[in-house]
This record gives sequence, C-alpha cells and structure tokens, in this order.
Amino acid sequence: MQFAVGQIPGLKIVAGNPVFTASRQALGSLFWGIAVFAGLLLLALLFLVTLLFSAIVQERYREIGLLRAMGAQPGQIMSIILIEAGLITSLGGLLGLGLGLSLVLAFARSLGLYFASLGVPFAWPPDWAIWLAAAASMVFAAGIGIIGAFIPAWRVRQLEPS
Amino acid sequence: MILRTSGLRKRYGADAGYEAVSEADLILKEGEFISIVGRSGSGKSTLLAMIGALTKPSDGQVLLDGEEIWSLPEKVLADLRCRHMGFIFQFFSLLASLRAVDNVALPALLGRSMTAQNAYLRAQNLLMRVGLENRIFAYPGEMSGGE
Repeated sequence: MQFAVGQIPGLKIVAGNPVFTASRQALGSLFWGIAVFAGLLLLALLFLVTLLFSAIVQERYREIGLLRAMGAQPGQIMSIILIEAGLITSLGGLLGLGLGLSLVLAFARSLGLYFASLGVPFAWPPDWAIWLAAAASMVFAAGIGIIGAFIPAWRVRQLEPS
Repeated sequence: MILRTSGLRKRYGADAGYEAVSEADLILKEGEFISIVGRSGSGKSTLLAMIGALTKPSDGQVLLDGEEIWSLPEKVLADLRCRHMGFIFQFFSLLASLRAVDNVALPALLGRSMTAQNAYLRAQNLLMRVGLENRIFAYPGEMSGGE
C-alpha cells in the first residue's frame, strides 16, 4: 500500500515510527548533552559556594571569635556554618524546582503539542519518578552547600577567640 | 591558689616580631580580686586573653587549679571557657542578629548545661535583675550603649 501510494507524484509518505525513532534519538543526545552541562555547572557552583563562604566566614570572624569565647565547641562552629550553607542552597534548589516545573509545563503546552501532532506524544514520567527527581534535586542542592562550605568551616573552627 | 602564670610571653609577627607580653608571672588566690593596670598598649588585654584561654601564649604556662590549660584538648578548653571563665569586653560584644534574651541565654545553650527552656528562663531573670525587663526581646542595635 505504501509503495503504491508512494508512486503518486507530489506525495510524500511520512510514517509515524521513523519520526518517533528520530525524535527519541535526538532527545536522547540532547539529554546527555544537558547532563554533561549540568555536571560541569554543579562543579562550578561548588567552587562558587566555597569562595562565597570563605568570604562570609572571614566577614564573621568577630562573631565566631565571640562564640568561641563563650565556649562554643569547634564542632558547633562548623555545624552553624554548614547548616546555614545547606539551608541557603536548599532554598535555591526549591526555587529551581519551581522554575524547572514551570518550564516543563510550558514545554508540554507548546512544543509538546507540536510533537503530538507528528505522532510523538508527550508523556509525563510516572509520579514516583517526578518525586524522586525532585528529592534528588533537593539533596544535590543541600549537598552543594554543605560540601562547598566544608573547607572554610574546617579552617575557621579552630579560630582563636581573641 | 587557683591561677598561676609562669614566664608568659606573646609575640606577634614572624622573626623578631613584636613582643606584647614578656615574662609575665602571676599568682591569683581564691577569693582574691586584682586589677591589672598599665598604659595603653602595654599588653594588659593580651595578658588577660592568655589567662582567659582566648589566645595561646608564645611561651610560658597558665595553670588553673594546677592544670596547664593550654595543653588541654580543644573540646576541654572550650568547656573551660564556657563554664569557668567570664569576660566583659572593652567594647560591647553582642551578636547583632540575636535578641537580648538570646545573647544572654547563648552560653548556657552552647554549654548544654541546661535545657533551652531553663536557659531562656534564667536569661529573662538575669535581664530583669539588671532592670532590662522591657528590653528582653530587643536587638542590640535597638538598645542604647548603657543598656
């Protein structure tokens, strides 16, 4: 049937499956490209958080010295800095989750509709996958803060109270 | 005797540097009250900082009840600062982001010597005792220098 219809001049047959396969391959490559970019971005963020918290800790030498003079243990000083860093980056992660979800919704309502018209349906991942991705993002966000601030916190924990 | 210092020195800077305190010996007995006097820059604050476990001496010993405090592990030294030392600094030393009651309760919270509830209750009582019952929840920036 395809062969017969294909003989009609000015008519091109586009089967659903090859389009679907091509789209999937393209999206797969795009996914790995984004993954590599995201990995490099995370490394850069880690470096940035370390620099930032080195500066923050230096600004707060007086406060830290006061806490040490009051009898704060080195571990307590570290905990204060790491918890603060984790909370700040977690808040950033939460904002990022919201933004990411908005972008996916926007995609579903624009390009998603276009792909659907070509026979490539936009399928949401299962709920558990979405929740897992969200949880993993939050863990990464908090982790970036804690790991990034670790070196400045380690250095300052033994700061002399004077 | 509760406190004795022997040959205390504090030098700042590498090589020759600047010697803020040189060969300071002190004996303090129980119940004794002393004043350390000297002109500005003579090393009074540095001496007190070494005695009060705030800065490590370049040389010499600080013996509290016969124990050299600067040979103690950091955790034990921190505990010593919390439970056995008290400082009133020259310039007010409060954490600006905490309220008056938080600042007063903080040492007890850090030392974990009592529950948070008791620490805050004690802090409120202390502030009331010095006439600051109306300033319990004020921040340092909202308080006068005298307060």
